[in-house]
Amino acid sequence: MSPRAAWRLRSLGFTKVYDYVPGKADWMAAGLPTEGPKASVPRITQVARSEVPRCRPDETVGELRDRIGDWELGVVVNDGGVVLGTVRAEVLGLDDARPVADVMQEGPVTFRPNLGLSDLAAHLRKRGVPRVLVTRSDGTLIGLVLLEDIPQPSQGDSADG
Amino acid sequence: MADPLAAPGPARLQLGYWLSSEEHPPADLVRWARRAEEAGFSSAAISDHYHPWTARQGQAPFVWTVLGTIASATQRLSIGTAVTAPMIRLHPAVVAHAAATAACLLPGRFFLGVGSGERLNEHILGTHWPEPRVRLEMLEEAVAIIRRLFDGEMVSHHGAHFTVETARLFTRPESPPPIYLAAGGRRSAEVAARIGDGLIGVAPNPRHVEAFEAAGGRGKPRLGQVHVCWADTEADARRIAHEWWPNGALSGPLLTELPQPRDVEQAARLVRLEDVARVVACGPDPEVHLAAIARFAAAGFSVLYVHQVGPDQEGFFRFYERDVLPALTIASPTSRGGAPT
Repeated sequence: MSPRAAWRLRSLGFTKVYDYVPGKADWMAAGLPTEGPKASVPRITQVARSEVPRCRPDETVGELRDRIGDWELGVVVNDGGVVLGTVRAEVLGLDDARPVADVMQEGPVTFRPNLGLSDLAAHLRKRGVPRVLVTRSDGTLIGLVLLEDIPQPSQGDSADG
Repeated sequence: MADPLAAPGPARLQLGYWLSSEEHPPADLVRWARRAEEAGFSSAAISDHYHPWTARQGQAPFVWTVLGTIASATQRLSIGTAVTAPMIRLHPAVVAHAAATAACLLPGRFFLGVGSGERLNEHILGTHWPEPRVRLEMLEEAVAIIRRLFDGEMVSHHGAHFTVETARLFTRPESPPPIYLAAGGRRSAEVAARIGDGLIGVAPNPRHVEAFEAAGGRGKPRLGQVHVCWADTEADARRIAHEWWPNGALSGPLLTELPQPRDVEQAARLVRLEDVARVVACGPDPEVHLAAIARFAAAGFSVLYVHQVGPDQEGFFRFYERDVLPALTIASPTSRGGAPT
């Protein structure tokens, strides 16, 4: 609940009011449950692949090889799960001892889990981006969304913020 | 369609050898193709030029004749053009004819790499040199004509840029070769995804690969060119790279709009040794070469063609056989990973 809503409820006489200090947007961005008319809008967490392979930047290409399987890329995270970059499966053809940090793409575009699917699809198509990472507001990884996993919008769908 | 560069499963790296038509006489290109196969490169790409970039490079043989000879001199090597411009100097119906014949001589191991060309090679017939947007349109129309001819259709086409009347290819391979498109920007990468079977890029730019994938290119081969110059010392390598490949440090309109080698040479006078060394991995240190290859792999390129700048190809092959190829886990007919079929 936002500070403004919390104050209003208290002024109306409610006593058990909890103010989530970081705000509503942060609550939703953390993927926490919501209520209300927009709660049923499809969110990107519904198609995020949480099983995407992860590795640390100090691991080697050889160590990544065993983990990446059929995936096209892995996500480079720190010990706390914060996203640092991505690494393409093509690097598995390189020398085994090469650190992942040498071949990762830094600063990948990330989105929060509260974003609507149709908004994300429009953005990706407009920008020519085939996949994005979904992270919490603290930067920790939730999963990978592939453009092809997002259902094509049907007529009448609207942007949902 | 038999795609010689399709990965046998998830995305993996393949290493190829770049045959630089601008630098080598035709008989040497055949020799280096055979040597590349022997060294363990899985494929080769050959440039198609009417003029070299500079007079020092000195060569520009007719690529289709060279390809025919390479077909009989090699057994496993996949090879294709990188790239030919099927638009002005050579009409798309003629390129389709040449490519279908090459594919018959190289069954299952030929690809047709196409692009929108450079004025350096395409101006020779006195035809107007169109602006980039029009050239991309022409390329789209050309690829559509070529595909119809590959399919064995009797083609009559009266389009915006090309006319074909009752043309039919009688010599065709069992299945049409893949067509890969060169792209230097997002728009051309999207066209490559839409009408092509793969992408050809010259810079390790992940944005181009991503645009290609977002537009429908996921899973298709992404070919890149890595410039290197092996020599006994780094200083020698830098000097050779500067002497033989100063155009490597030029970009954009300087490469596409200048009509003659002497014009490119004039622009290249501004290029310093260190400018070339930034785009050509120079010297005898394997790590320098592995790092250059790694940059393209990290950007999402799946087939990398190594271009050894300058005349010493044999020294390059020995160096790669000894110090570079064994370090990689590439898919190759003669190394670990199995055949790229």
